[in-house]
Amino acid sequence: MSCKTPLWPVASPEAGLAGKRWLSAAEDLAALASRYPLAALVGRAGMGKSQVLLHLCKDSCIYIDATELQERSLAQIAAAVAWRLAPRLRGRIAEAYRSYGYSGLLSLAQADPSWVLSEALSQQGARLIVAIDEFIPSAEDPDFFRAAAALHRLRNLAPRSAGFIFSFLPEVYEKLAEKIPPLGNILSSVVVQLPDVLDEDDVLEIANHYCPERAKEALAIWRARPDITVRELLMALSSPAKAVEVPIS
Amino acid sequence: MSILLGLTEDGKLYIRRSDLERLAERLGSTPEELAERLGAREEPAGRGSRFVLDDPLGFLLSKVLEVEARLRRLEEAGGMGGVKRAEEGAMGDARRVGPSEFEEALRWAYSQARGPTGYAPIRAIMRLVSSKLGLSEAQFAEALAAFAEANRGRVLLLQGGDEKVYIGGRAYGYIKLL
Repeated sequence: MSCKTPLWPVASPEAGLAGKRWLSAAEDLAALASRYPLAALVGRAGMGKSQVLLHLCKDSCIYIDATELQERSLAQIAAAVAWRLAPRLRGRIAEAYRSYGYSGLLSLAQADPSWVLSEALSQQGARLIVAIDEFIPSAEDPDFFRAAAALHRLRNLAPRSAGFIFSFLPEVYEKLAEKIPPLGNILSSVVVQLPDVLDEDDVLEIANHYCPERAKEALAIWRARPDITVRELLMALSSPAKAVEVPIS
Repeated sequence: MSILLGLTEDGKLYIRRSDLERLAERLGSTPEELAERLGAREEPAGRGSRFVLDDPLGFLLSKVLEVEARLRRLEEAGGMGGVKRAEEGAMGDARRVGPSEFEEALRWAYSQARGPTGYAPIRAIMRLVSSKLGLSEAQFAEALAAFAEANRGRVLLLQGGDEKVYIGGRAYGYIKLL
């Protein structure tokens, strides 16, 4: 049995990225992030956004799961980035880090987030990709506009030595585009959208990556539920084999 | 608002004048006009009067037949034009549209409301489709549920969004047609 289907299919570096269209999305994002200060990854829940970001961050990249942040603000982003780069930094940021650890960096970032971010990024040298996942986890998030303001600030700040990639659900992206047109307009030039539904090739590529023995079963599951997400497909494949009802049209 | 219906000594239905006056006022009419539409006659009762319905069952039946005949005439008048829709809406009738008519309106509304990711706010779609076809919110939800079921994999519904519509027991905020 060569199945390595994750039992609890949430993104992880060990799971690896499967599917040509997902690998291509990762490449497109890397190209955008190497040119622009901001890029966006859009995809339905469970369609692999986080896995794409983790794939992108295999090498020189900072991946931040924003669900870990206390609040959705530029100060929190600046402190998180400075924390990851701290051992290589000098001056006031290094001093705050040595004296007070993360609290020191956050305190500095709360006073002047733009300066901390710019300074930390410029000191670390080569261009860096910063992937921020789940910064606005839902369109109904009470902090939606606060988080959007941080994005807007980042757009204006336009750090030269980093490309920030944010992942969004389609409904969050739509709301951003509708409510804050200047932000939506610029994001529309730097967005990569994951497939909304799987096609037959996707299903086979994903199944063959995780569990080749159950590729036929994966196809049967997909035919019964053509709007199934990658996560739902992996959940179905990680459960013990069972008969699948296939509708005959 | 409650209305007291009573039975006369010989078993006929009656409405007190004061009740009929309140009902008429609410409907923007006069007690006499309303009595005539209900087929009721006024008769003295105590110090006031009441309106007696001599044949309520026959009256209801005649009204049903009248509505039926009116609908038939409207249908014969041609297609599903605006006049018929207005008539149906005014009567609170259950509007029924065929699947192809609904799909056409849905695709048109979707083309108007979809955003950069190809998803459209479902409330906006509902408003456009309902105003075009004269559907209530419930009728729209019913028609969309049937359409989504018949087109699995080609209709995507997202649960996020500020304004949602309940379809098949779940609240959805956005829709995409593939």
